Amino acid sequence: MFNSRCSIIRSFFIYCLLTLAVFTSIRGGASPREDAIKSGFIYNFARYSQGKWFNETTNKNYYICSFNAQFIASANHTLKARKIKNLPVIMSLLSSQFDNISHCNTLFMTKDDVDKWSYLVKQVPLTSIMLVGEFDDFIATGGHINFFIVGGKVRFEVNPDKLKQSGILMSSKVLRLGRTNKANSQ
Amino acid sequence: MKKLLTRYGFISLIVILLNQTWFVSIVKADSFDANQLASLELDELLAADVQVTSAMKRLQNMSDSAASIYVLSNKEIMRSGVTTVPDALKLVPGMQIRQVDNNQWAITLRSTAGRYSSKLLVMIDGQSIYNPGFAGVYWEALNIPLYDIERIEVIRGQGGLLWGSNATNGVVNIISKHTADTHSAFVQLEKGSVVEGKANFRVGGALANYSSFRLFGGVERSEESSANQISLAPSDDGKKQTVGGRVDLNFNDDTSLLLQTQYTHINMGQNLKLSNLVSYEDEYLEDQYTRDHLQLMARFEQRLSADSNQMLQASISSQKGEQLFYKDDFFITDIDYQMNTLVNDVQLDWGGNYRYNNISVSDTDYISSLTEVDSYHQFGGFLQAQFNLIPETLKLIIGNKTEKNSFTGWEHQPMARLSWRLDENHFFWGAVSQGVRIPSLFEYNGNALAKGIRLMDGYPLFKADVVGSSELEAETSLSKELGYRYQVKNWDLDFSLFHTKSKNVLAIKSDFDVSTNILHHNFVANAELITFGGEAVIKWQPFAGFTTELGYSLTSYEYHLPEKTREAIGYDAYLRQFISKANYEISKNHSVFAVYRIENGEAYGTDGFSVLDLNWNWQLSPITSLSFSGMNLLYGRHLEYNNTSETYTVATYIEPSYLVRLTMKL
Repeated sequence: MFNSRCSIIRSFFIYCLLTLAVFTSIRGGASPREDAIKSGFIYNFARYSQGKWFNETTNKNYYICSFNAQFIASANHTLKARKIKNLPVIMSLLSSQFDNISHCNTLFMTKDDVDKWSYLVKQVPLTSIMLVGEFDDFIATGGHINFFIVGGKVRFEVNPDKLKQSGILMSSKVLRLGRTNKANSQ
Repeated sequence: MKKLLTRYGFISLIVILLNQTWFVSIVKADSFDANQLASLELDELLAADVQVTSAMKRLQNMSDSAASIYVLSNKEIMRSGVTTVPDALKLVPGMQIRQVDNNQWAITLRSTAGRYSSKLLVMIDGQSIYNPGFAGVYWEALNIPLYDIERIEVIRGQGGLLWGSNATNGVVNIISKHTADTHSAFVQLEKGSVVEGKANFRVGGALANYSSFRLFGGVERSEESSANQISLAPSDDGKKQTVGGRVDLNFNDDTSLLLQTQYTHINMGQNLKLSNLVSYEDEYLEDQYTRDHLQLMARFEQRLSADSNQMLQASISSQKGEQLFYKDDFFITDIDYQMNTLVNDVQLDWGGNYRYNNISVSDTDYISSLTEVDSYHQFGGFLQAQFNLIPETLKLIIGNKTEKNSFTGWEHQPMARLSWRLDENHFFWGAVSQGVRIPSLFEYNGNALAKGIRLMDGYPLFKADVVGSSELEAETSLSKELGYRYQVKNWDLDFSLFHTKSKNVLAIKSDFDVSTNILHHNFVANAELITFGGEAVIKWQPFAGFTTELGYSLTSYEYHLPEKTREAIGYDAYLRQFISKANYEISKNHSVFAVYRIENGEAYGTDGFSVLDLNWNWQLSPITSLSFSGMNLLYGRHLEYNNTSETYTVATYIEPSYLVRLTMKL
């Protein structure tokens, strides 16, 4: 009986270890829920910011732009009927880095857009746009806010100096929730 | 290699291959229902899990749960000014929180709580903290910094499937903050009429690759009560020291490792009612007792895809205590594995667990062991499947947990839950489930000296004892629940009803042994217990900065006892509870929180009482705040616990008290 029990226990652990090993190489992608949470944060970043990057008297809408169709679909659902500075939030899907992005008030660069970001940050003036990303070195290469995931939850790091340079004054209510990253501030 | 290819190893490999096939066939859930966020407020977004499947012993979406649940947020805990976890649990409608003295508590849900009896599973970050000696919790040794608690999830009713045995009346899961959210240094100083002095600190910081850590510690010294019901003066003073830490290592967005530890030492006084070793008459004694609790936990979490994740958690817990009548030393090892995934829109949660408990209980003059029991094993697994019968409208959840334990063998806890979302405002649910309570070590193997019996006037008392039994079967409870939620913009209603019929309930059968002249009060598991009642909670926010909540609960117990037996825990009784809470933000820097509680019933052998707790928070500067709290106001001193037949502890009067707290966040 004891041997049988030990055998079951041993097999259980072998099973756990093998399962862990088998799946170690499988990478997870962003779920619609993750996109929904990130779009909620992006909404709050804009909601709790002041400054010349967005003038509510001269604009008719607040545009959140992204190259990622899945994110746009999820954000459309999450931010439906939401307003920033009393103006409707509009999601704008960009098709390539050569698109005109002058209408964008927030630009969200996903992990799939690293190449596009490399082009944009060198070739396109990105002043007066809130730049949000979700990959390593996004802040170091000029981004304002970068998402990361810890413990299955979305967190963000902010470069307050870069935000200020772009004319964005973010509320301390938001800033204190994020991690400050001043690395490579220019 | 041969050992790896045993029959069980082969079965394991087959299961892994099946898993692989499942994962290849995963269809991404496009349903926005599952991805709907309760709110876009920053607090809610920070608390939201990125995966709907990540139910790692945590609740997901409260409004869509087919169970009676309540979530106590960090914000409410901090606003209320409570100083301990039991105090915080008083804020949960339906929780039965009875303060025995300044240190000790009797806490449960949907049942009668005892100092040494509980059918409530309590966990910190998924690690059970129950003491196997009596299958309850030493609440006085639970010293978690409240400001580092993210939330407390309370499940009323049976939660055995996902959480484990002994959760027949409910589950309390205390979830601490991720270290990514505790980077600042924190100092808190408290002084009051009961708390002589209390100081807590925390330092936290960032490590490479979004990893982070925190260290915390605290000391506390509390006064004794001023009055009790006996001639002996109260001696329930207390000292606590705690130190701990947590590290969250982030390998990438999908893989993380949590390491956590905490050590607590308590040295406290208590009044005891024990049988005199010579005359066998009840006598009252003073006792100074100590406990040392150490917990260590490691949890590996991995996101396998957008719709699946797995967790492996290993923990050890050492609980050592010494009091006049009982000396215990437990070393508990737990290993849990859990996987959550979506397969063709069916959410599957499954896992396994193993527990090894090293037992060392020293005999005293008052309590001894019947036989040598030096270890306890428990292992098992669970499978739960959630089917969307009508997408976004009708869901069916079925599952079973099967475990084998050293005391009663194999036990099964099946469950079925059905939920129906009529529209965005109305939500109905129903559940049928079976829960299991395994006998505690004392019930299984203990022998305790009891008050003697006088057979004839003028003659001395004969010795009496309470005797455990290895023949006890597990208590099984069949529970039926119905619930309804109504939500609109600024108010919501949560209503639930339950009926639970328990078999093999612990009872006492007395038998006088003429050969030894000893009266044995033998534990037997042959009673039936029917509990029924309900809870209703209404939350209302008439305007920004003002929130209110009303809660009402009723619990009724009916024992059905065989001849010549009597109740071991509780008795036929009822309890009615009413709670009213309000928080008003007077200005940017000032807020007031009030809780008014009325309790009435026979369950604890006390009179009904109604008390008011008030807390005023004053933000002196961005880093400093001051709060003033008054507890148990308006009613005067009162007794909350008087179940003298089931405990050695002597309760003291609970009196109005005050507390001043200074908090600095650096």
